[in-house]
Amino acid sequence: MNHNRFIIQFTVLISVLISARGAFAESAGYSDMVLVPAGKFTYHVEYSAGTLDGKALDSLVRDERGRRYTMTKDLDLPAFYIDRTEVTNEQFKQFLDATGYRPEWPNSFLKHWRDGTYPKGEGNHPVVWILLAEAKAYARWAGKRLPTEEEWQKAAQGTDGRLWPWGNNYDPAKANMDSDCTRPVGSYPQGASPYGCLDMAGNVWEWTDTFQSDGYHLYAWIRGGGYFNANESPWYFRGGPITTDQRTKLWLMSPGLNRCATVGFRCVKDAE
Amino acid sequence: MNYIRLSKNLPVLSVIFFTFLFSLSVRGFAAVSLNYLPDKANVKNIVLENDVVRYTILFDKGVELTSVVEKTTGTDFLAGNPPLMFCTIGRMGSYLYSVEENKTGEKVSLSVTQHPRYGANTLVVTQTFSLGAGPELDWKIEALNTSPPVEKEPLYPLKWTSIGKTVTSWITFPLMQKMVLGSESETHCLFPGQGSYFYYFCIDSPETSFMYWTDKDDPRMPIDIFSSRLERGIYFQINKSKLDFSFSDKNDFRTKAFSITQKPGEQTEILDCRIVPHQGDWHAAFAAFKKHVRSGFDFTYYQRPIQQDYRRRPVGHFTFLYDLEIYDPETNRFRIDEFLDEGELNFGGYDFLLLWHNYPRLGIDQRDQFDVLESLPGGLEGLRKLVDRAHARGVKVFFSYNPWDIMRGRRDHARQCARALKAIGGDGLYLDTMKETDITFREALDAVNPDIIYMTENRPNLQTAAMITGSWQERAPTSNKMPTVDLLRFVIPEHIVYNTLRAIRNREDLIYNALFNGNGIFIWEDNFGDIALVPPHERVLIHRYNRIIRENRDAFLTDNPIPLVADFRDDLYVNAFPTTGKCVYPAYQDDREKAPWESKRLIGPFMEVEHPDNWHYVDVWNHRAIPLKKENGKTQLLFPEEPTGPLSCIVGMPENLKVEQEGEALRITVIKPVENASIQLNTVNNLTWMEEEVLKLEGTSGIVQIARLNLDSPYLVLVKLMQGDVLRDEVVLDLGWKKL
Repeated sequence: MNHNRFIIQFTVLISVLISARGAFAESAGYSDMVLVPAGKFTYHVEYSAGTLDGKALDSLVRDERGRRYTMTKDLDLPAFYIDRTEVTNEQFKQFLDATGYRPEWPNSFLKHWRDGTYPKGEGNHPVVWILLAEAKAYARWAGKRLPTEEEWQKAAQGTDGRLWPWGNNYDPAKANMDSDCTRPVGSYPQGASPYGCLDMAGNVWEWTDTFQSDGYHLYAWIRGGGYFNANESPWYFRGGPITTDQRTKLWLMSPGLNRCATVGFRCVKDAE
Repeated sequence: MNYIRLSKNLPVLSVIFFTFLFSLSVRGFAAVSLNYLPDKANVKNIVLENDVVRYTILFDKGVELTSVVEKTTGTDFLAGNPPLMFCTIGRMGSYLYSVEENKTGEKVSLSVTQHPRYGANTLVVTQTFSLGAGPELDWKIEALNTSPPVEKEPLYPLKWTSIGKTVTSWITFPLMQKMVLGSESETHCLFPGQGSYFYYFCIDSPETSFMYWTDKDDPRMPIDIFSSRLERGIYFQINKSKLDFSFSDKNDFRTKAFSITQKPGEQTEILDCRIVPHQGDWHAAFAAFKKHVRSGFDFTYYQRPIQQDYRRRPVGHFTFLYDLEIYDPETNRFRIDEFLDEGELNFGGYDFLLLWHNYPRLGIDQRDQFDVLESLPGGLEGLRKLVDRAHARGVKVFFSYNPWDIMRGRRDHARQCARALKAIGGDGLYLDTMKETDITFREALDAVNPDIIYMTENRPNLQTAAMITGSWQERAPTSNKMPTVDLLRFVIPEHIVYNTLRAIRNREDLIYNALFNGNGIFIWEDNFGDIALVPPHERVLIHRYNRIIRENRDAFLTDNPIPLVADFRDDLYVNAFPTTGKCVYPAYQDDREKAPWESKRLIGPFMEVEHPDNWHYVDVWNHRAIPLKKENGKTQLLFPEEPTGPLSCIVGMPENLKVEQEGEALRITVIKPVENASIQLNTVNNLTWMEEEVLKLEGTSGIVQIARLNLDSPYLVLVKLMQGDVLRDEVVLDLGWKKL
């Protein structure tokens, strides 16, 4: 009995410490970030080419018999903070104003902005029409970095392997999916992940820090799905609701093409 | 009306003829005559004849054909056969027949109607035979279910009555299906077959010959029963039928029974067919078919001058713009010049590029295929520069169009395509997933540039092929298997077919098939992320293909290529591309790989040719002169040794080049002057078998020091007489191992 009591007391103590640490984080200026504590996590992903519902012939995504590649590994990630929401237009404007950042090839750069600023009333919408490199530049300026895919997925699904941030069942009321435009970040509080991250499914796809080449092409792995879903043809890149365990290959080419109306990002920061 | 009783002549059935006599006498017309034997009152045979042919029809157990005699030679095409019924149709019981004569224009017709005697059999069948001035006999079959419809279900059972009966009848055509010429083994049958996406024709079996065709609604080649030894046959050109005339093999053809189901009172036109006796083999049926198809085909879009230029462009490249082969991320531009240089090294150069920018990326956001063009490096202006550079190097540029890109209801595709092509300066449009188009789309493009070329992913039917002047051939397992004949290429040679293989490791058959049929080739190594590089030995084959099809384009681009000409061997398939002063024979030996331990099989005479005596023949694929043998006054071609691979390409030309070795020099003389001529000397690389051009001499004669050829390994030297860039004669010199 004593033994059990000790365990309970120890657990309570640890919980208090963790909460205190979270409180400290918020008080230290990370009010827009949540803590994802260190710990073991089973990382399972399925590869997707984004089109033909996984049946696309793509040697990076499926094997010669048409089976999609999957990967499962046990990870022990150190603790990190992650943005509660996607980076907004307003935040990105602060970055531009502060740094005077100008892209080398500006085709489609912040295509939805007019006269150097975002459309009225969309300050709290996620910023889109930016490159992965521009997202990274923002993160550097903010003292943060882009999440690895592992970090992104742990923040989205916790440690129980759930398919959606809010649980295992699809629920269109809990995310901005299959609509015409972005919505203000955090519009779906009931769709929060176990750690309190919002819009981890839908609203906009999110860049992760993975930029790869197979020697023939350049591509990035993006996560979470976006608001837009072109469903008129099976050959379209599939948008809308995407589960947390899908890593989707996004073909990269010219900057004008790589900037999209549906891809934004959020940042992370090491917790020491 | 006059009723004639004939029953004493018919042992099994009691048959009555109702002969409808006309006031007009048949003897009055042209040369066609209709005679009853022994006499009209007691008919057993009816003879339909004109100046060239005599058909003898026998009334016995049905309507049978006993002989078809060609009058000039006296040959009976049905010799050795028992009387063959035109068709068997019907159900239980015996029949009565009525006969009716008629004339339409120059033709004399005979209608025979078969009336059932058993009351529960309600089927009345009428066959009509018409003969005009030619040897062909028109044959029609109509069936009427005379059962009256039932208005109201009666109280008694209908089983034994003829009222309200839906009739299912089994039909066979013994004349067509059972005819034997000589013996069963030398009787061959040409018939259509049906695959999952296409129709084809074959001789005896798709395993032994396979001629890929188009759509089920397109005309089909006549069914032909012929004997190559007797050099004659009869073909059945089916103009219209309710029945599905497609067969899986000769046995299926010989035994198939068709069925039709008719409701009470329903009349069905079962068959409208033409029976044509002919000399020679099945090529007579092919020629009639080709003439028929071409007579109804609209060649307007093929007669544009641009189409002639396009036909001279056999090698295309599928250029996936995301590939770092063409896109340079460091400078954010398309490295078009370097890319074309690499194409020349790897494949002997591209004639056109198909730029692919859309799938699988389309749909990530609201930009459709036309918006995406503007997001490429430099936008439309950047693409214009790419196209201009390609044009400067003689390479045409196609753009891809995705009809399925209808996101958010955007469907003004014709206008958008026209706008984009105008801005970019593209030469053609590739219609993804399509095999058809409509005239409004075409007109929108014509308004911008009437020289725009269409190319579809799938094979068009004949109606849409009038607007679509080129298409892919990508059903690899069936269409590019060797020795498949691409029949569209032989019926409408103006239509350009590109053999296209996507993710497949071995493209050898594809390349062989392209040369065998004179098709184009589409080089495709990046299948949207699935990399299937063409291996070095196949690049060499493409180089060779590229050279041969260009140097012999005078033969490949005529409108009279001949599929599967006769040869001496069952395992050898030869197409012919004849033109004035030249004939190209791509030849393929099948099944070599099935018995690799059996070498040296294809040696000796393999085919007979009929050309003037001064012609000689060179295998330009394997770089071998083809020796000739005279047999009974005819010229036979022979292989002195088995070719190194399954494919050969034999070019026959008048001998016009004389090459003599004089010590360390070659004396080259042209016997008969040729305009715009030059002499080209090529050495053949001993490892790759590729030609490496060494010397080009202007003029038509001269002495070349062999030392100038810089030979230091076993080699062949080709001396070619070129007219412009077209081959006129070639001499292969084997100078031997280190002879120099």
